[in-house]
Amino acid sequence: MNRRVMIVDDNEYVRASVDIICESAQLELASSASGVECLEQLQGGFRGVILMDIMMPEMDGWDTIREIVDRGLYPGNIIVMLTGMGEPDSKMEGLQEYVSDYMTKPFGPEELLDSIEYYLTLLNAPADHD
Amino acid sequence: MKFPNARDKISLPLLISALTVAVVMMVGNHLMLDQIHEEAVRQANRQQENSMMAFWELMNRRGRNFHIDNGRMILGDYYVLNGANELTDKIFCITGSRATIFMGDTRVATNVLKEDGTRALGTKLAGAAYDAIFKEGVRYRGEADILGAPYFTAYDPIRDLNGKVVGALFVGVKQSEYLARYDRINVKIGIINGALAAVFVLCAVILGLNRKRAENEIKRQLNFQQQLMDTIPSPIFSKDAQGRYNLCNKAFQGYVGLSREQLMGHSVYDLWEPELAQKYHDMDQEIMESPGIQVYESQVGHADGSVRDVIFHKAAVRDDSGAAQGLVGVILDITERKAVEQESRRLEAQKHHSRMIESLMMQLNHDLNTPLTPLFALIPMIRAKVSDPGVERMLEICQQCVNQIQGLAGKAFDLVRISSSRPRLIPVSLCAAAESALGEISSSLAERGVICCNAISPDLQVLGSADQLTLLFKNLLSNAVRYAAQKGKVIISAELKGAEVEVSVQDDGIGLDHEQLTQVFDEFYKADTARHDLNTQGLGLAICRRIVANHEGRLWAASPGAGYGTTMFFTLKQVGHESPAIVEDEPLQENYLESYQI
Repeated sequence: MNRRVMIVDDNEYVRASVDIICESAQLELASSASGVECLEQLQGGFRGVILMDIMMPEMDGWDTIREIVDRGLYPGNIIVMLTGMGEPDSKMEGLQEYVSDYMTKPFGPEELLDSIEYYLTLLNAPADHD
Repeated sequence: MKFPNARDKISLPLLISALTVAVVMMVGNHLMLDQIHEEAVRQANRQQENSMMAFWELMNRRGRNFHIDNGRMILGDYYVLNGANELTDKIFCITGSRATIFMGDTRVATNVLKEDGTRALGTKLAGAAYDAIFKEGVRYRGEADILGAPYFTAYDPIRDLNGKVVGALFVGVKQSEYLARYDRINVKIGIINGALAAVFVLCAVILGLNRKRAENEIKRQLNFQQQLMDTIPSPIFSKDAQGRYNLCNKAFQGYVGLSREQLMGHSVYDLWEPELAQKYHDMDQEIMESPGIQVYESQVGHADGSVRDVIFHKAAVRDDSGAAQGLVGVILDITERKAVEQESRRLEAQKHHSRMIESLMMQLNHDLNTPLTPLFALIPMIRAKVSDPGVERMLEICQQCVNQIQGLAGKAFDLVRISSSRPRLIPVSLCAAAESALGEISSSLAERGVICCNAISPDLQVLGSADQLTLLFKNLLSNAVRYAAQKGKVIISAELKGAEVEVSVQDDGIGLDHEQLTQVFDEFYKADTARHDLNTQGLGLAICRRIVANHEGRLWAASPGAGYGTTMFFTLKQVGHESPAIVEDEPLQENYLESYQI
């Protein structure tokens, strides 16, 4: 049973909060402070639900997704974008199909956990395994 | 061109010249004819002299002495001269002159004829010839009347042996016969003269007409040029080599507010302020000295007293040797263009400012949301872990404050976003926009137990931006739900009114009084004057107002009074009633829709 979650966000308090919430729900959390770290974790074999912040310095959320797809690291993962209202979406062209959901910041613990549990269920469902 | 009319206008000097030439010619001819006449008379007299000599020669062959015997004049011994017409006729044959032999003063042999055509025998000599021969005993030469006709004549006395004048010999030609040839020449020359004079006058007339035609053509061309210049809306002028105005069009007169008479012949120093005049003069001098067209920006005092920004286009007018004879100039008023450019720069700056604010707000929104995320995530978890009611109350306050900050950030961002540019208006379903908004506020509806009824027809389409209309409904519905009665009712409906769709959101809540109705659309206004409601930001209706303005509609509130509910109305354009040229991303002007109808 896959219970792995990755938070990709440059703000350490956001990462820490998500960590606390996940810990309370017995989820296994991987924390990445940048797109580069996220790619490293994926290269290292991570598969699970990825919570991806959009606005990050240097390599933003969309750039990271492009890299994930280009490097063939997408299969076995579900990506949920963490957005603020009105954040730029001009770069999302052609990448929407890799994004399963959007969660607007700020979000409460229940909202976050509901979402994670839902997508973990999808990941673990036999129909989605191949 | 009508001939008689034109003839009146033929140049008088030209005609006088032609007539003078004709008169001079005629006088010349007359003098020449006089000479010819004189010569003819001289020749006639000479001829008489010769004829007389021939006559004497003829006589002398028949004898030398004359005497009168028995009433007859005898030459020599026996030759009777009375009736000796053969002698006179011979003289006529030889010389062409008439001849007569007088016995005493009586014609005894002659071929001078009387009026009836018979020989004038027996007639008497009279006049000056008679006096010369018989009174003075000398010969006579000259003109004389013979039987009433003028003759060139020669008379010689005939003397007897004693030297007494006993008769006379006469030769002569009728002046009319002798001068006939001269008269013919005279007539011919007269005709030629007349013809030449006529030709001169004709030439003068033709020349005059041509000159008149050329003058008319020049006049027509000048007229055309002036008309052309007057039709051109830009002021045009020209100056002579001394810098005096010598031509201008109506636009120029109107521009500087001076008449043609006030301008013509005056220099810039006569007409403009010394400072401007000096500037114009310097530039004029420069163009006079250099080839090509001079284009420069300057200023001109306008008729209305203002100083206008203009562009001068000037060029020197040169003669064949290249010396400047003056200059021509055109003025292009760029005052308005400059104002437009300035306005355009201002709008560009405003647009840039709007984009900057939008960008700043976006960044601020993100930067606010990021630290709010841990608070949002962690406060509920802490609250779940505490049992002390005091601590729980404190955490609840924190939670509310965080909610408020989050709401404020979101609404402020909405306001900037919808204010910075006008959306592209396309046909959208009004009902779907309302449904979408209801979906977003479903939790609030449920929380307050309010029932919302969407009575908009699913088929109704309006011109709008789906996102903004959803946001509009969301804000109106949030207010309605907030102020509706507990377990109250909110009704959304739409009605076609001409080219517009009038939409209403009606609640049965606290209502608004007259003063509140005029203030509800202000930014940061709250119906709750004490601003106790921490869950609102006071930006909702301000956002609504901007969205409706973006849709070129009207927004107003109506309420029967405090406690009787409120109805918010707004209008949108129906599909098929597009206003022309809706530009995307056009910066919005303030005062777009400031009137609050009640």
